[in-house]
Amino acid sequence: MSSALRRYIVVRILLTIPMLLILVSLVFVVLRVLPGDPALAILREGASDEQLASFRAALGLDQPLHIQYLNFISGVVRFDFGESMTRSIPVIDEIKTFFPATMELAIAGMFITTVVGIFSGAFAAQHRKKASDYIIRILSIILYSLPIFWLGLMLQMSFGAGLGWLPVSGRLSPGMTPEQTITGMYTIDAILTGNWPLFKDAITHLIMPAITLGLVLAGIFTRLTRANMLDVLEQDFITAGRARGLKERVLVYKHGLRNAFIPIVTLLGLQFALLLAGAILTETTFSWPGMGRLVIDRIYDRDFTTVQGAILFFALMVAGASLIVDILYGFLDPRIRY
Amino acid sequence: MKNKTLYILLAAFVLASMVLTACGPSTTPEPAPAPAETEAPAPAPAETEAPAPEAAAPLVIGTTDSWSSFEVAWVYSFHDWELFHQCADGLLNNVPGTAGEVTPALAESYDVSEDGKTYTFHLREGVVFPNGDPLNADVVVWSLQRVYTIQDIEGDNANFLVTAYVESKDAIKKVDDMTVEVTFAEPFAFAPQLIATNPWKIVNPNQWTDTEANTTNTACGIGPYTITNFTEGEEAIFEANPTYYGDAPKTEKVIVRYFADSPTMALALKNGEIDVAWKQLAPADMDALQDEAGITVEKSGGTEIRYIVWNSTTPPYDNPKVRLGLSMLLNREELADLGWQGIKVPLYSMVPPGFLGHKPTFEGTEDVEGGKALLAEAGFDENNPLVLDLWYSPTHYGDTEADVAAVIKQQWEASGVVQVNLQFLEWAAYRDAGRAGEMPVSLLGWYPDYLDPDNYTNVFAHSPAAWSGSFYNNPDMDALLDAQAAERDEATRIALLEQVQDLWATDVPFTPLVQGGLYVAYRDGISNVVLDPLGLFHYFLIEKK
Repeated sequence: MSSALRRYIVVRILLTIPMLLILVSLVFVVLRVLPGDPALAILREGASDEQLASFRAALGLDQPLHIQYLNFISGVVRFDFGESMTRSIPVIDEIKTFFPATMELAIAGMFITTVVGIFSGAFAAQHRKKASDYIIRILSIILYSLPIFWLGLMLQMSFGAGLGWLPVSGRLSPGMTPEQTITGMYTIDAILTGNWPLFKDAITHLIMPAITLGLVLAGIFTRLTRANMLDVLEQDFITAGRARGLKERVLVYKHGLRNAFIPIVTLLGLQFALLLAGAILTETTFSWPGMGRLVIDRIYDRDFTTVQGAILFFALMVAGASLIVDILYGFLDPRIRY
Repeated sequence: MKNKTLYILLAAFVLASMVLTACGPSTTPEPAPAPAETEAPAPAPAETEAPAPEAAAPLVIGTTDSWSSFEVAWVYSFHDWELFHQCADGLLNNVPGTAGEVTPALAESYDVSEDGKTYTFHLREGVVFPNGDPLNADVVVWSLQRVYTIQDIEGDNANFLVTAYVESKDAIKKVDDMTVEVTFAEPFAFAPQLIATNPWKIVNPNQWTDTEANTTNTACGIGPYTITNFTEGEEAIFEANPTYYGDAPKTEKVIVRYFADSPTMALALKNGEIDVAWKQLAPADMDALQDEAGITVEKSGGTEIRYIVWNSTTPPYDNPKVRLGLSMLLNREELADLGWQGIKVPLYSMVPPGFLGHKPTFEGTEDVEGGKALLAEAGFDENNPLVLDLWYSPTHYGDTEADVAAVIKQQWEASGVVQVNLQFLEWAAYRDAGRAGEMPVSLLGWYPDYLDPDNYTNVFAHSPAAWSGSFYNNPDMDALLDAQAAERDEATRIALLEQVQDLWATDVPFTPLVQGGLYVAYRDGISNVVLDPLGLFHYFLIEKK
């Protein structure tokens, strides 16, 4: 690794730290300045003043704000997001329970997005200004405009309640949940343990949520891939390859697509935040027990520590993904480092 | 050629989408004859029958509720209570299908002292925890005193159901190996109902510690089921407890599935993924399921009540004539139908029907002219209308709350003598403002802590009545409430409760509006679903064929 690249990576990591600190502070302040006492919101309606005071003391809510902030920041530095106000368990344990479901859905959704988006985009570029190009472009706009919950509901009503081919909710059939997990992603765990009935069950539950999430995001990739491919297909090396008698399919999908890939990879990283946001909507539609469900449930419960821990975790994931993309870009394109 | 292939594929895709969407909503996987008209819930069976055959299919119950805690001292929300109810008995248990009747459970019997304060429990012989540890007086005393210990260490929660009523931690005593004595601070008439609540459930000292609260301990206590697996947000699995002293559950294995929303749960019921859709089915889903072949929907009254809070220290609401006059302008039937979309039923007393001493003293008081006359006595008429702010919280009680407030506004304004400004705050701020007395007229709701009319009256109207933002203070009401709470003779207590409700209808410290409903939908083959006013679901009574 050259010293320039090393310096670039170090600078990127150092820039991430103040960004996260600002974000963490914003989350803390916003939750604190919202009107209303969490103790009143969480405890039963008839709770006495003594009960409320004891609840505030147990959660440190009776401390001055700056002390609460310092405690929070020192906890975050140690990756300790505090304890859930309503469950009395560490927030990080809550995240460990719910995050694998979101990650599994996000990976499957990204797979659908990539396959559908990139190949339909490449196909449209190959058949530029023909009927198939127009149809794919229109479909990509429609897909991108579809509300996730509507598409999910249509799939549930047709393939689930209508035809009975696929389950409409959850990650596994009743009673299939394994007592012990390795990654918490059931499809991966099933492969790692060779539990094929579990794998089949997990995949059947994953299909509709992944298609819902993946298709909606696929539209933007179709358009981006098509635009990049059109640029690449007009370059000299493609013309030269065509003159040498290379098959059109090889030219487009091997040489063209490979060269159009760099901005697409970048977008994949940047779309991670959008994917997580989409996963929240998809999770609600399919009762998928992931981070989206966690955040929504805890907002209703006024469990501020869990909400701020989950938001922070999302932010860390997005910042991490952006950092990785930036570093990858540094590797792929030397001009970026300077 | 390539284009032709693409067109064929696209056409197939579009056609397939149309066909699938068209056949989606109107078909069900297993059509079955329509069920008979929905009836009132069947009474609870006196005794359960023989255990279910082995290897029977598990009963799958869907819910949109979420779990919070398995800590016995903190189990307070209805869903947590329901889960714990399947796997932990108390010294006394609620009788399924009743509003507050209790029956001896881990205690075979009990005696009450002359002064009504000391309860002596004779424990059932030969009862063991699922791991084989025996139940005895030491265990019971440790378990009940633990509720105090956890409160000392980690603050109050549902602990108050023990600690606020028992004289002291030391008032829970072992008499002999199978006898325990508990002395209450006062001769509470509702002590048996308190003893049937969750913090009174008995847990095993070898499976629980008294050094910290444990919200994730699924060891429970002694009940018809044990929890064999729990994954938050996904499912809870209950299996029959082979060492249970009572009747075996009707279904060997029960799985509770968690849903994010009602429409998905309703679809899962139609799709056969779950057998029973329990709390909370949205009105639209319930209506749709009622027309579905092979699915039965049952309804029953619940324990939740909704009411208006008047700040009795703020003019003109310090005048009972204004409170009563405004109450008389209401039409509860219309409010339930339009505001709550028919999922709640009118309530004419703070004590819901079915509870001891219920007297619907607000029935027949809906009289617009009478209400206007009372308001006129207080100085308000068409020329000098009463201008009031009606406060509500838009999400805490569900999406219907804004509609409810709008219907009340419309009913009051239709009289011509009231002008209403609707005001709202999110829940946390709403509670702050309520306690600070900043909301003269506001909407609240209540789920009982224990199943006794005391919890629908005393908690509200006994001075200082500060938590609700009412600040109502009437020595006559206090005296009546104190008297009924201490009265052990049922007939005399009923008379006192009726006097409380009579005074309520003239003094109107709070105005009862509606009572919550309970709804359950289940597939053919499911039977013995008992809906009781408590709102608990008794998994162990449900049978699946």
